[in-house]
Amino acid sequence: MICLQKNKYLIMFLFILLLQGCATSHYQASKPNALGTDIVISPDRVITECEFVDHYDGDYSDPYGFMIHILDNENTVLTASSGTVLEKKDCLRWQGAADKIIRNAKIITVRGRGDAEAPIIKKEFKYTFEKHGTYYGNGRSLNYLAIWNDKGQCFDAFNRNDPCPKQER
Amino acid sequence: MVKKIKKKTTTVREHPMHVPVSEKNPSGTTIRDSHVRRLKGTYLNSIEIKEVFKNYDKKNIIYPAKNKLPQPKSDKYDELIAVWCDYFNKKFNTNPPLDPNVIKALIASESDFKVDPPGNLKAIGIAQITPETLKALQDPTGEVKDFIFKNIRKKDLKNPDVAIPLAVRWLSRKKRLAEGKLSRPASAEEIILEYKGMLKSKSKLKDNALEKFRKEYDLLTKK
Repeated sequence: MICLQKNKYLIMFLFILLLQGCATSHYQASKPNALGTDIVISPDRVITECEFVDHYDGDYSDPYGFMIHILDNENTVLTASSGTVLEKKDCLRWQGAADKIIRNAKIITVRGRGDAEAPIIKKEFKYTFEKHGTYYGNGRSLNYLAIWNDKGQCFDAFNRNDPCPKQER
Repeated sequence: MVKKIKKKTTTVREHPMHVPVSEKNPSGTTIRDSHVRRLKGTYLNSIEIKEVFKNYDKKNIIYPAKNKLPQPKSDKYDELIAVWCDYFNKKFNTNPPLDPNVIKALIASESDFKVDPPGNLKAIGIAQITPETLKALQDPTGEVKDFIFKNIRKKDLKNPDVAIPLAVRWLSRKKRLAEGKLSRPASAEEIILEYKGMLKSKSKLKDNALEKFRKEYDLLTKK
């Protein structure tokens, strides 16, 4: 009986450990280098957005902008964006490709150019992360280059082969 | 020496013109109605673009900063940028002149110096020029009628030798537009926002686009 009780606690302990392991939220930003800045995160810390560009005065009939928002350890939000206007259908294509990578992943890397450790400037824009809550932008931004996951799926903004890391594909 | 624009067009009187011999025109001549012709120096076609660049006096022109940006090939187009900035600054007597570093930072922010980035299906080439902009740049009655381009096709935009002069011309126009709207000289950032059509936007993308341009421009202008 005592042995059974001991096993019960052990099983419960292992179960809790497993749950914790599965739900581990991760954020790690590298220093900028020649390739860019890599941010390694778990999928719960990433959301993508196609934003309608208001008061637009250019050539696109349905102007949208693609962005990837990343929740950091300080609960502020960094944004990686191509910074260029896209037609809505193109933006949705980019978003679909990025969402597929996020959906299938345990760990994601977002590569962009810029400093992920620049001083925080609180922005008015807020972003909601399902598992964490709603947080403000921190004024840090990366020029989006690529996103890839631990399964080797990659989506690059400018070129389909580079800078998607070949060794992980 | 770049000639400044005084008169753009001349009227050609009705005149006989040779045409291929056909049933309709067995003599091989027809009468062409009176029409307007653009004067030399108010337009460029792709052959003239190459000639102007080849023969341009490259002494004393201002080049964009070298060895400042991390992208591969970032300095490859410096001479093109310098020549066409100088050409259009002189052509339009631009004051203050358009800074070649603005063009270089714009290209970095638009395409990362990739000649034909595939991400955006609508925009073409190193400067990400859209078909609508190309049409406007060739419209003799449109917003850049002072100086237009002729016979440039969409596929030509994949060639930086053609895309860069078009981008510089368009940016010169946007600079003037921004200055008109602001009633003062426009900053580099305001010119770029006008180029991207987001001068008055309050979107998050505007913030990000500006940030992206600012990073490249700051690197180029940092001492």
